Amino acid sequence: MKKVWREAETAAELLAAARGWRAAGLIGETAFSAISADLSSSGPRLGEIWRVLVFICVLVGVSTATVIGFISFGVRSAGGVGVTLLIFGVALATITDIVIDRSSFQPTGAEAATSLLSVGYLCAAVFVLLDDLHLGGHGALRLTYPWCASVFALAAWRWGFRLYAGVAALCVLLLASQFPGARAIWIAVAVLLAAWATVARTTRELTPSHRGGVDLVRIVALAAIYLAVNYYSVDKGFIEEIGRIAGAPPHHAGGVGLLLAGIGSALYPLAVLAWGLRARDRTLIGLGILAAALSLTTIRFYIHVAPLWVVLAASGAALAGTSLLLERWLRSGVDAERFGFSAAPLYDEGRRERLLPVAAALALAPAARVLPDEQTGVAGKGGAFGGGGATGSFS
Amino acid sequence: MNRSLLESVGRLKTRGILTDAQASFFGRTARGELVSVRIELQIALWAGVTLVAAGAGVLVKDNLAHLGPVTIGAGIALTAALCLWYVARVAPAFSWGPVASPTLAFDYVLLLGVLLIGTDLAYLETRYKLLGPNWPWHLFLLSLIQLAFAFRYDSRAVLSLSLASFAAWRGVALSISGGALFGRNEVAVRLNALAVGALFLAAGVLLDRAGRKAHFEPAFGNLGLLLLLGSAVAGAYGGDGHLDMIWFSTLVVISAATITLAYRARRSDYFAQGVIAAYLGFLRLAAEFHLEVGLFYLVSAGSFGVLILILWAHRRFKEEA
Repeated sequence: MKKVWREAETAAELLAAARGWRAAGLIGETAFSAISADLSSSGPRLGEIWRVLVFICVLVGVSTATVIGFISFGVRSAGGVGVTLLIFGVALATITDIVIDRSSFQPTGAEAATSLLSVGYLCAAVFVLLDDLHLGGHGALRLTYPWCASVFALAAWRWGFRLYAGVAALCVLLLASQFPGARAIWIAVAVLLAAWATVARTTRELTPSHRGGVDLVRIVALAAIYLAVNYYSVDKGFIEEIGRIAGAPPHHAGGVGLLLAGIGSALYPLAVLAWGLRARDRTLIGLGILAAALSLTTIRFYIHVAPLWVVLAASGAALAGTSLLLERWLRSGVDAERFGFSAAPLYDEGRRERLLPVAAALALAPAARVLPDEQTGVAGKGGAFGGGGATGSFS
Repeated sequence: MNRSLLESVGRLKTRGILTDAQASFFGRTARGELVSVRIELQIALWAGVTLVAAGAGVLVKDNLAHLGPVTIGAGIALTAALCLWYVARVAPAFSWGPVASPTLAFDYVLLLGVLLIGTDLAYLETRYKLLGPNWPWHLFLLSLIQLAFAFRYDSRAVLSLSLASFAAWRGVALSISGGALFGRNEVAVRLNALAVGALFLAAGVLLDRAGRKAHFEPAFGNLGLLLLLGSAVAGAYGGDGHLDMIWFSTLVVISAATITLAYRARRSDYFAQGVIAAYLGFLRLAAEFHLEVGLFYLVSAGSFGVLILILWAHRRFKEEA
């Protein structure tokens, strides 16, 4: 990433933080204006809606222009398509650089679209070229995954799109699943990725987007470890299934493997949660809670502890009750904080806060009734009731 | 630790832009010594409410025949009453302006109470057939009850639920898991969606002009526009392989009006919806010409044309990113 891009990113991060502080009432308008004036390297920014519109237009426009290119150059053979995709991919990578460099607005959405198409074309080119060389199965995947991982990692490093870093980590894990003893290699690779990401985020001076990318790599790696130690995943052989050649017998877990998986399902979420609390890391805390919920769901899958409605209502009440008690406990601490945690908004996350209940309400909205003349002759056939999460039909 | 932010805070303090207290506070957050878990607590509350509401729904569905009607009906009603009692107890006085939630749980407890009322109403309707063949009216009744709660307690969430219930009464799904505007009996559903969308938009405009709960206008406006444009797009694409000129014309008129009015009013969210709908209409029209290679030229040129229009129009919408 170029120095000037790093400076612009850092300035944009500070400006976003200052907006959050202002909205939360932590700084006044004067201080905010002074901060804005101070940030000369932060150019004007397009709003989110505008960026989405630009992204869609550029994505569709360039994709169709690519098809026109294929037709105009008369490219028909697989080899020709592969080489053309490589050329287009490199050309789009150059265009992405130019857009980031020259555009007065940062970001615009256009660089996201061209970079996505660039990495997409570069990855697709290898698939097509290997197919042209009649190379398939494990051999082809063992070449394709490292290529894709390199392309995505390079794109994440150069342009700072954090999503690409996550995809690169996923490609590395998929490569690990292509070898014998896939689960052990998968875990080892995931542990290495998580360790690297943890060290990098604490010791290196990273730009905001690189920090986000490294965070995403860590999330992918930790989620991958959980996938490998979860009882249901071991029982069904999820990891082994990824690299299984068509026609080969499915993997069956042994007693020891299942025992270890049981222990892993119980301890891993607690370990991640404890790590998150100790490091005051919201991402790790969230991952730990999610893993714990998945482990409880796994238990429910194998052991019927109670009727479904009891499980749902009890776990819902416990979750809501715990969060309320936690909020009250944090609020009653000195300066409304305990052990470095607070329930007060430190930045204004107003938009997310406002959208969350609305999303919850719409997710639980009643299903639409079936209009009368659509019913096939049965009076009062019914429709759907809801509003309380109930979406079943009644008659 | 966020090193870049920490350095920026230090620089702002040196220049006197931030006070010592402010710099110390922001420095703690940048170093990760103080972390807010507010959003996480809210997500947990949301998940809790969802699970409890889902549990109540499963209870009604699975035990319709086994448990006595009084047990189920009264049980759910009692839980809903408890939720609403809490809400009534802590709620601030009514105001036509925005009212801040008194507690973190307020919105979610209100939402749970209202959802449980919906479950109870659905259960009573199923059990006693109070409305008989007119059972869909219970959705209308529910939407009115939810609307009353939304206005009294200034809840956007319950307002969204009310609008979704009203749309559901007219056979239109606004829920995330709901159906689309395609499928059987689609014309009737789309016509209903047009009418409901227009009604929502009109209600939003009225509230805004009257200055009564004017902050609810975006909810009415966005959902209304979504229905109007969504039904027109669905109509333009749903002609069994042929372009339905009536729906296409409707789409042209509605999207053009949306873009023009949003441009004048400087509403980027409405403008974006109008542009996306018009763009989808353009793609549908391009497909109708069966141009083969020419189609790609048309779509590519059209996309870049829309891009230029967007960048030109953006200058009018001065907004913070």
